[in-house]
Amino acid sequence: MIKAQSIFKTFTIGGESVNVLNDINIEINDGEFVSVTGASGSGKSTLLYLLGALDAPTSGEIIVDGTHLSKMNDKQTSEYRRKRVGFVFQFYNLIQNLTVEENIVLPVVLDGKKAKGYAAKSDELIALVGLENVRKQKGALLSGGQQQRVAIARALINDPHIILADEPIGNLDSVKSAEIMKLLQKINREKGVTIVQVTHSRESVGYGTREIRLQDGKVV
Amino acid sequence: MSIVIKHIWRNIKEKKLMSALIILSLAISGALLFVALSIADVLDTVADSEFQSVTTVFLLIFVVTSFMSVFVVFSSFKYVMALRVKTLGTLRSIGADKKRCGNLLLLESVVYGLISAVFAAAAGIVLLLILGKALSGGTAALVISPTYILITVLFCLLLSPICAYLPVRASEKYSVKELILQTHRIKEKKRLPVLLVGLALTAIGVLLVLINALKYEEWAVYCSLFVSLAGFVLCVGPLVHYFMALLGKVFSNNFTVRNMRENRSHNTIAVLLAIAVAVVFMVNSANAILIGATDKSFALYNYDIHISTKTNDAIYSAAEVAQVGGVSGITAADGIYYQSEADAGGHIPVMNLYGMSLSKMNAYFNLTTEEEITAQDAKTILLSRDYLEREKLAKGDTITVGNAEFEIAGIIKEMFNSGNVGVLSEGDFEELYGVSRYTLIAAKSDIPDAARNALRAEGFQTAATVADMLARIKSINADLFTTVNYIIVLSTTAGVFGVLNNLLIAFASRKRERALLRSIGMSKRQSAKTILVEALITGLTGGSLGLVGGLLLTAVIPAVFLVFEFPVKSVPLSPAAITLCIICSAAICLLASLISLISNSKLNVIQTLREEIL
Ligand SMILES: Nc1ncnc2c1ncn2[C@@H]1O[C@H](COP(=O)(O)OP(=O)(O)O)[C@@H](O)[C@H]1O
Ligand SMILES: [Mg+2]
Repeated sequence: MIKAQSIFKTFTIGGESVNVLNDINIEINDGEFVSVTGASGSGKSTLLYLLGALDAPTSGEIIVDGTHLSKMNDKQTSEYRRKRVGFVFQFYNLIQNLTVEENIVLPVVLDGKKAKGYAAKSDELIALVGLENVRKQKGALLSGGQQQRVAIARALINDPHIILADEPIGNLDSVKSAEIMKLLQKINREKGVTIVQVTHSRESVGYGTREIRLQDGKVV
Repeated sequence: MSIVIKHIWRNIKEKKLMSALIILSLAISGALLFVALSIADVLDTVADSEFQSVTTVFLLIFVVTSFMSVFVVFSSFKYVMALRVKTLGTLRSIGADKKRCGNLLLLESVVYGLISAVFAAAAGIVLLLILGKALSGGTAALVISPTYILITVLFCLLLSPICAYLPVRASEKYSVKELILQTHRIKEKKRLPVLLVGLALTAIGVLLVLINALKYEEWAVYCSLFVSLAGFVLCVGPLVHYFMALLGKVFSNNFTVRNMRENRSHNTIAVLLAIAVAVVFMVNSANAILIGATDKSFALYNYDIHISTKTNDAIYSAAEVAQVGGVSGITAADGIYYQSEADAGGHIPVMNLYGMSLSKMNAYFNLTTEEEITAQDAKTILLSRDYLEREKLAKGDTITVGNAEFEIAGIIKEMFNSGNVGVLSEGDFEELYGVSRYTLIAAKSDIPDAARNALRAEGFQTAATVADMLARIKSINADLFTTVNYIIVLSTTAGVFGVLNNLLIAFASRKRERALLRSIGMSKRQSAKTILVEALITGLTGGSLGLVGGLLLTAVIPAVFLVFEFPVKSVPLSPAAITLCIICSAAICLLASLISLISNSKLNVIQTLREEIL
């Protein structure tokens, strides 16, 4: 379960501080598929970064399965990102000079384990995201939709409980978007992974179980 | 192979030009060290005190130039790290901790270190061989030492991660989100405090050099020189920024000039150039002083054959002097008392103190007093004008030499740059130093070579013709200056690589911006023009700031030379050198920007814009 309590996030630009998140309180239960929506600039990405411990709130507390993110040190937050959440970015963020397979098993390697032990697992994920025919290709050569599917497979390699996806279909056409959404839905239903996605598209909200709307840094 | 290693290896392979430049700047630093070490060995064999100042200056030049080449390597790594920011963010986002990311970057630097170590050793050996050919043989032969090869290899292996370490630590303070979105550099740097600290350090350093020089503390002079250098290096960054900002204000209607101060890589280049120009300028001045001084140092002798021991022992009896006079070919010979670095109480030592009668002085030395003196009274001393001026003494004053007081009875005309000569009467000299034997025998001859051989046959093994001594010194000098210039060329090459490196990064990091401008209608020509304008401004800024620094460093050189009892009255400033410094730095920038121009003409607008989005 993910709990966000009285979250504030303030940015200071040129001496002026802006409250991007303004007292956010949310609870997301295990197995949910939540879509965070709102106008551009309403703080959706900021919220997701906080949930993924990619950034820290100005004040407030995020509690995941009973552990407070603010009380973790770098080693622990790294482990949290490695094992308990998978993050999917709008702009994929693959390591461009590694192949599809290598990108997918990277979190395992970072965990200090041998990639070989995860060959079966990575095969399974490659099949799940449907990238069998490009598995040896480098990230830089893939299309947008393919890169996004690699990112999803990478997010799944360590069997996380939670996937955080920031506009996973923001750069894809409607056919590819539908494929990715179906994939996420499948992961949510079959593996029981909690999914929190940020989205602009009405259709994609339909794949989820609940919608959280942000407006001016508040939940509405 | 582990995936991480594969990633690093591909980074190095795919960014060929960039990796090559880093490896080359590392290798040049290593080769520089190797050559310097080997040369230092040779210089050690030149034991004559006359060359002490030259070898020390050489050391100084080496310290300063290696300072610069290390700076080049360091700034290269700063930019490699900048390019890796997004990858770092991605790795952190999938759970790599800071330590792991740091290790990854350090590992990459170790790979650069490894490759460059091989190149450094190879280049060092080749350079040494070339240098060996260029030397005239005045100094001992250059030897390729396995120990130094090992030191060079270790140096490259260590320098690389050491230079990478600071940028790595800097990357650790950003949040993952800042790294991923590459918003980590938005924060303004604190420039004013750095500038103030730098200025203060420079001022303190220069002041200390001047004070310490008077006290003859060699190490203290080095330390303070280092402080002033470090201060200068600190100042350059902020100064470049403010200068660019000023330019931007003046040419506010020109988009390119207006944005120069935000242009980090170009500013780094200007900093590099400024440091390089300052160093080259200083070294040049030091060189000019030395050449001027040593050429004249033999004008002192008015005899043909010189007999003395290397350590100036007083061993020659009157009988031996007579024996020399009797050797065939010798027309005249006399014994002369001599003491080097004679203690002068509260004043700087008298470098060359002679004990001789006025008749000997007139016969054997080109020493004349300003007002004619017919006889030297007891307890009087003759001193050279340079010495008196430096020590603020005048005719009629008294000075303590050794443990006795002497009245200054006459002023010896200055006859060469480093005039530091004193003359006592023979009686006074004997009493002062308790000697009865001579330090040197000066002999005249019309056939010096034959006479020398005859003298050697009679057992005067140290007999040498003044002409030979001069030739030897000239040859050593020539070798020393060849080596110094060699080192300068090497370190300048390192500097040029630094400039190339940064220009390349400057272009790469703004490729997208260029593509965008092109997509909205900027022509290739206009784009090329902005590249050239940027290069020119950078070169001129770096060149002129470097000149200021060079002049500053040149101002302390006389003080540095003083420590070696080598008084320098004025530093020759050549307008040609000044102009050359500025023109060269602009030219280097323009030449280096050729690479950017070529990339610019090949820029595929669509591809660039697309790549960046994917
Ligand atoms: N590092 C930052 N510094 C300053 N302002 C920021 C930073 N990151 C985000 N913001 C601001 O926070 C607001 C919300 O951003 P974001 O969460 O990305 O919005 P969105 O809902 O479109 O994802 C925006 O106005 C953005 O400009
Ligand atoms: Mg967003």
